[in-house]
Amino acid sequence: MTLLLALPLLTVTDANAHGRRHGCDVDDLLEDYLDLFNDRATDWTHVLDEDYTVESPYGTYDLAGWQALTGGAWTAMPDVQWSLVRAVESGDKVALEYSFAGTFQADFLGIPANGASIVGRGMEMHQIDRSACRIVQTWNYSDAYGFFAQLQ
Amino acid sequence: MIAGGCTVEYPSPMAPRRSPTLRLATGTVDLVRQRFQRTDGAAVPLTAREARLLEHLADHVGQDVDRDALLVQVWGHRSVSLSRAVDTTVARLRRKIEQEPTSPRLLLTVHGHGYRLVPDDASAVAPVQGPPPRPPLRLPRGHHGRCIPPRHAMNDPTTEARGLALAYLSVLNERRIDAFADVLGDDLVSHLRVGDIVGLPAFVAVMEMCYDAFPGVIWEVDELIVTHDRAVIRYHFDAVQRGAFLGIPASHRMAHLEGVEVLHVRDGKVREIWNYADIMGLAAQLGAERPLALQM
Repeated sequence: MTLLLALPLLTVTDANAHGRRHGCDVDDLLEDYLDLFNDRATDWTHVLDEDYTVESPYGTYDLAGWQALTGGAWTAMPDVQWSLVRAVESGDKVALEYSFAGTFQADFLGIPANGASIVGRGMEMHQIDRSACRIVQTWNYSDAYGFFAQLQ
Repeated sequence: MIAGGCTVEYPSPMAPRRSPTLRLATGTVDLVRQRFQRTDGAAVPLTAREARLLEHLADHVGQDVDRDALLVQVWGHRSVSLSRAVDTTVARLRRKIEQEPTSPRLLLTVHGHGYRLVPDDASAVAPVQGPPPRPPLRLPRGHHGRCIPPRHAMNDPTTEARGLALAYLSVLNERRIDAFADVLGDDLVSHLRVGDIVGLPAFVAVMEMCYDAFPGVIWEVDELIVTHDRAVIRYHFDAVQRGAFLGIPASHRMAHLEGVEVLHVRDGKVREIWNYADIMGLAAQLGAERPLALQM
């Protein structure tokens, strides 16, 4: 992923060798994960388990529900891009800190667009099924606090 | 967690309250390691939520368990919601523990109600001997009787990071402000969603504000992962707000907060913290008229 590779990644990879032995390169999986968002992918099942669930400040979602919410963000910020800030990996868990930047061009969750440049950060913890090399569950802690402040 | 001044028990918030192992007809569930050992020898990892769900159903084996009750008891939801989390997790569990996931014999659907864990035979769900508990991490006393990380831990960066993370949680939960300097550097920088806190004295001031606002607060660990120089803590707390918090006057309401922290460890101390927590959700629970973010 061009954008991601261009960034100064700070990735702690002490368990990566373990992952490769089992045929699941977590670095690649995380790149694919961010590509889902940055490339506006429609099929997410090569990265996320079909019974994937995510718990977030906005609620608990299954795969389809999370895709729908993300689609709303894509509409509101057509130019939004997500970037990896740092990842910490151990065993079947990966903590991923990310940032995003975009322009608020269409209404989002009832808030009218204001054309502002939006930047934000968040952190997720992922549970990985290494045998399938899929993310099966995510706990998302996006900075909704800072995000909504910028939408006003 | 620091008992007798210098002993840290490994926190095990995900550890079951009952026997740590369940025996099913198709294999054995290790609730501590979150792993299902199939009778055919295959080891299948479970998510923390799957293990928690199984534990809860095993506590009510043979009984119908309401879906909404599962959302409250296992997912921590504070009210009934339309979440499909239970159904998707059950579907995933069935693929792991059932011989025929489409024709489940262990984890049954109670239509219009919820789920029931049914043993295949009399011994299908039986507590068996679990692994011995992990020994406590003992912290020797340093100057002024304070606890310091063990020297052997210094030889293993990952152990050191884990020990510091546990000590950090201990001093926070026990309100041992006098011991903060044992685990936190004077040059600590803590990145919170409401701004950066620079220096240990400023961090202490923030914590004192938290203690005043939530006198009963205990940070419970949902997940702890460590590497050689970082520890990531996924946590939650449930506490009643008794004092002002971020401009919100005392509401005397119970609040639930979840978050995650990354600790950067260097030279035997926590030097930097990145915290992400659902502050806006917390503000809403405390009755803020508008989301806290909008008040800035």
